[in-house]
Amino acid sequence: MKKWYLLIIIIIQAGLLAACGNDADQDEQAGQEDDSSGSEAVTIEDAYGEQTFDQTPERVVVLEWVYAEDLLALGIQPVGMADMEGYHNWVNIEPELGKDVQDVGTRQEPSLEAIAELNPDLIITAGYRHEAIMDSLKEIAPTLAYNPYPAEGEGNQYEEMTATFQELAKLFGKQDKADQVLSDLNSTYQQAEQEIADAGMDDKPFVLSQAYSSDNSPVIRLFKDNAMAVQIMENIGLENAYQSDGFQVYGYDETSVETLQNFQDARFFYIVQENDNIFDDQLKGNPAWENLQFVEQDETYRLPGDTWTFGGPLSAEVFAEQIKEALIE
Amino acid sequence: MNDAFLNKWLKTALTFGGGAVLLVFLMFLHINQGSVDLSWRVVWDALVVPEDIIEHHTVRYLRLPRAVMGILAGGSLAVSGVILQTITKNPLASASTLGIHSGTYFAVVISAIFLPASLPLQGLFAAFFGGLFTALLVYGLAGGASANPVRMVLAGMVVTIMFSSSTSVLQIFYENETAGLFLWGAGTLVQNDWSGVQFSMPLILAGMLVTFLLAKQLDIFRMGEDVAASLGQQVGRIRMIALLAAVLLTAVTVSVVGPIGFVGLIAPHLIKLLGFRNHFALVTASFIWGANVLLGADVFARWVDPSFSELPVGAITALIGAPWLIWLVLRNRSRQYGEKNTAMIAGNVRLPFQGGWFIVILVMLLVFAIVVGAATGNSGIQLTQSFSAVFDGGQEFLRNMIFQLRLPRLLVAALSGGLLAVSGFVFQGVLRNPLADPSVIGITSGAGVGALLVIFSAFSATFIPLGAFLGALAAFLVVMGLSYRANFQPSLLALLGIGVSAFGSAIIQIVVVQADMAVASALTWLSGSTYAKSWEALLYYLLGPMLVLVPVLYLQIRNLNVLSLGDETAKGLGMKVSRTRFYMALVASLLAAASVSAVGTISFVGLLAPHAARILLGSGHKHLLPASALIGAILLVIADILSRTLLVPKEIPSGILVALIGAPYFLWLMYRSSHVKKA
Repeated sequence: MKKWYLLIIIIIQAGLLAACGNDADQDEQAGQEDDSSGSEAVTIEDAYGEQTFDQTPERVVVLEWVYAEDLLALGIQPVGMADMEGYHNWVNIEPELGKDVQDVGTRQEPSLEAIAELNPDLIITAGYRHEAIMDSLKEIAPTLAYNPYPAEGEGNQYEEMTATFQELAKLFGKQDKADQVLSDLNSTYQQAEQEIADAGMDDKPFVLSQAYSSDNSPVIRLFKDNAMAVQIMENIGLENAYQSDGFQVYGYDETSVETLQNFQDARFFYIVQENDNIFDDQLKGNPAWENLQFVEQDETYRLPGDTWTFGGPLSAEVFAEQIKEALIE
Repeated sequence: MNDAFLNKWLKTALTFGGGAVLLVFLMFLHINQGSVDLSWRVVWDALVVPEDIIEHHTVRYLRLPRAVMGILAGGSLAVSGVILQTITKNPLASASTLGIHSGTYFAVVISAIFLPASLPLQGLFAAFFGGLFTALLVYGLAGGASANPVRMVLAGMVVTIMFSSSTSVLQIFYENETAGLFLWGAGTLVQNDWSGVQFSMPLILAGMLVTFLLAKQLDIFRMGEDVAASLGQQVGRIRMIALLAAVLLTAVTVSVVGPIGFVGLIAPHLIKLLGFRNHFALVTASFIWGANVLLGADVFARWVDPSFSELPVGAITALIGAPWLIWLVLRNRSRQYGEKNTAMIAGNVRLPFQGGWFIVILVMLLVFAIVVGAATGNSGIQLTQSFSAVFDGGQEFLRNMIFQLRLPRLLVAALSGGLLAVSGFVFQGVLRNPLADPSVIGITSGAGVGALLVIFSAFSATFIPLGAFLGALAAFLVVMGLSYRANFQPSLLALLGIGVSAFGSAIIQIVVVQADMAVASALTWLSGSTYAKSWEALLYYLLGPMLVLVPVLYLQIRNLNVLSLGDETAKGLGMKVSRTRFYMALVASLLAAASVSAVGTISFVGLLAPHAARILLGSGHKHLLPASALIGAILLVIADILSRTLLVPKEIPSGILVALIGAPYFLWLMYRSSHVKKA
């Protein structure tokens, strides 16, 4: 037994020594590379405070979809990204991810080794997912963490999204590009607003829902005012009818069909999957659904199943277009 | 005599009539709750003089189905509890304690992910076969008809751990497909039309009919199988039919409302406490009161959480039911829960060499595993590169990876595995229960509660381990405080642990469902993971306990050996049994808590490693403690290596891997031991 303890202690000590040594080496290396680039230091803010970058990062690993989208909008390809399969399923924006972007694992537990192997000079992630491993990430590369779901009283998701987008643009020296993207987005809004007004479809408030079945029973998410999707819809001149007490950090309440009768004179937007359309499968023929005013007057609007309500500026543009098309069809 | 008659009459009237009146009252309360305010008047009109208006449809098509479903589900769960308790001759049997819920849930999650949706009866079939399979599995593993209650409940628990960890794997990898299943997994009565009722009603009626037809036979059954057989009953066939009826009743409800625990335990006991013994009355009254319990829990849940974001009713019933289980255990503490029958002969492989050498071999194996682990990562095994990176100073990058990422994880895995194994070893000795391990005592679920409280409070995530540690300790003290009344009787202690464990899990479920935030990250933590463990975790949580507590234990090992001889012998040898038991269990809990705070809740290592050591060395061997520790360490190191290499670059939480590797082995062990004894 004693031998065993000794062995472990020796291994630990060796490890600690090696760890200290490595840090020193890394600093040296960073110092050497410094003079090769002439760019100025940039200080930007993330969820934890300010960080200064001496040069523009080039090898970026992204651990949350929305920041990958921000990079793509700025014309930058990440070198690594978490859960690329899920990204392709949900996010439909141009430009697409490059072919040589590496997958670094799940968004929940990305592989630190896979990230380190890419030798990144920046990691961008969502703070709420990786608070516990922030130190490990920072050992690999400078890490920026943002919180896409602001807490109560800290603004809505849309404001957070644009603010983060602009911070990142600043880091990469692409403010012009960011302004361009945002002004394009605004003109998309204006145009959509105009077309909707022309079609006379701006006369009623809306309720936005995402619905799926949980085993046999339908679950309906209704989006609240702090949700990005609601903010986008208000940007194209529509008004959210759904109001409820309490704050919800993701921006929606999960509720049942009963709640809908409080908002009967609104237009009802819904996102359902092709193979899980609760309104056709479970609720069809149910008087508590069929007799709702917006169902009777045929004012329900279906959005595509992969409608993405949590993305960045380009997803916002896609979403605004989807709403417009659903209304004007 | 008249008085007695009056009493009996009154009791019957209250049980049936009173129960029915209460049910009607609860039902009326229930359909008055909802996210839309409707006056009593409107609700009444909707029932009596319905019109074609949306308010009346709300009552008739949304609220009424939910209430009716609640009655059906509560009633059939209670009846299935009655049947299970009779045929297993086990007062603690119910669908949740026998693991049937976890099996049905697992089957439903599987079918939701892998089978095309939209088959109308798919959920039910999956639930039914999952439930039937689990029931037979647990029944068989525990030793069939000859099983004692504790053994059966523990078998149910192991099966539950196995299925829930498999379910967690699926939930982590199919986050989007299973998102909706989490609430359902906690049990909810949400109904949006009559289809749930229409679907389940005929099947439940069929199950009830079979039960009523069997009532007479079940009465005889209760007197013992020998009596039943001598009266000409086909015992085996009746048992099978009754089991099928019980599983049908459970599976139908689970497929509609999700697993709802403890109703099946509480309701039958209420009725039995009132003195009803004959199965016709027992089944009828249990149905009524099971319905009351569930409907009442739902009314309560919706009253507590008026936002109607669905506080899971299943968690509420567990919250009410777990203390009930504890109360039952304490109340019946004079009755022996099969105490003498818990020793497990797992078989024995004599080693061809001395125990001392065995330890040396294990140490070498561990070092070998760590070396291989340190050289293995994202790009496969790189032994030579790693060697040169470490010793020749070449490949700076690889060296960083080894010392910063791999080695700390491996050592954390090794140490926590070792600590868990030692903890399990001590618990098994102290409780003289081969199935004891830290999760049985409720420590793991206490740690989970502590950690979740930190996650969902304003504290930083760095305090999670501290929360887990305190939670584990709190759970231990509660279990010990309760067992004090039972004189720390081993099998009672285990049952109390299960009760506390269920209570903790219910709190975890409620917090997770209520808090919305980061459910997946909480799940990951709860399933135990060596992911991204750093040197800090090793230094802060593991090294101290190992250096201080393990040597202390080693000095006390004699006490453990004496305890394992039985209380009487130990007392005869002059030992203060209760006190020793308490202190040993405290040390074991501290070790487990240290491990939980470092790597989350990893089950099975504590259960498995000591058994493996015993099989290899023989049960009285002096090197058992270090051997267990080393086997535990090796087990978790291997799990860690697999967790980060199997699905590169995806990580599989190593706690889940241990359960997936360990559970089948363990079940085999149980199966084997029940056969050894019969022979």
